[in-house]
Amino acid sequence: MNNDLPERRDERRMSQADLAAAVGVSRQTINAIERDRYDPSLDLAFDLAEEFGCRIEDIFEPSEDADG
Amino acid sequence: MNETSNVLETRQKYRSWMNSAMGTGIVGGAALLIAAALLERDVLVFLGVAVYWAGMVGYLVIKRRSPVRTRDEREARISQEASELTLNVLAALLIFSAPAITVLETTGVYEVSRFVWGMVTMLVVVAMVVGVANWHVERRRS
Repeated sequence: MNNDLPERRDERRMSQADLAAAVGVSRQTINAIERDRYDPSLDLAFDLAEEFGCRIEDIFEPSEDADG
Repeated sequence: MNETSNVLETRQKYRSWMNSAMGTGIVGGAALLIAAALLERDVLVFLGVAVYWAGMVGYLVIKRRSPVRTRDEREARISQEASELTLNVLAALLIFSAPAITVLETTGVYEVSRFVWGMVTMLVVVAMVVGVANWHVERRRS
């Protein structure tokens, strides 16, 4: 899934480690999500949306090569 | 300190304890086995195995007692995919090796060693365990 987490982090001057600590995962997990190497669970997607005060679909959108 | 920072710190603390338990079991067990060989004392062999087991049991107990998941979701997914890959490799080995060695043995072309039969038997056992585990998980999810 494509996402704009790096831009949202930059706006808030947050590092990957800051965001990871805020949502309770490792920094590597945030890095993998930003690089589209890992799709977060629904729980984590909700936590990320809550952290940025928006909806999940504001952050994530399906990749063009996604199934369905 | 917020709740998620607590989760990360607790996870790190429990993982550290788990690794210490396992490390102590392996290093302590190995040291006692070496000492047993050098000193020719059988009691140290038993003690080495006991220390090794205690380390492994300690690892599992600490993991079980952890109030938070000891791996985050991506680490759990990595482990799951690695397990699937391993099972696929084992399945391929079983599918191709079992009929091959049966044919070789029955035709007398090659006498298959007991070691190879043992390996194939172990693959069959693993396949059966996977089948039972699959049935069990499916029941829990249905």
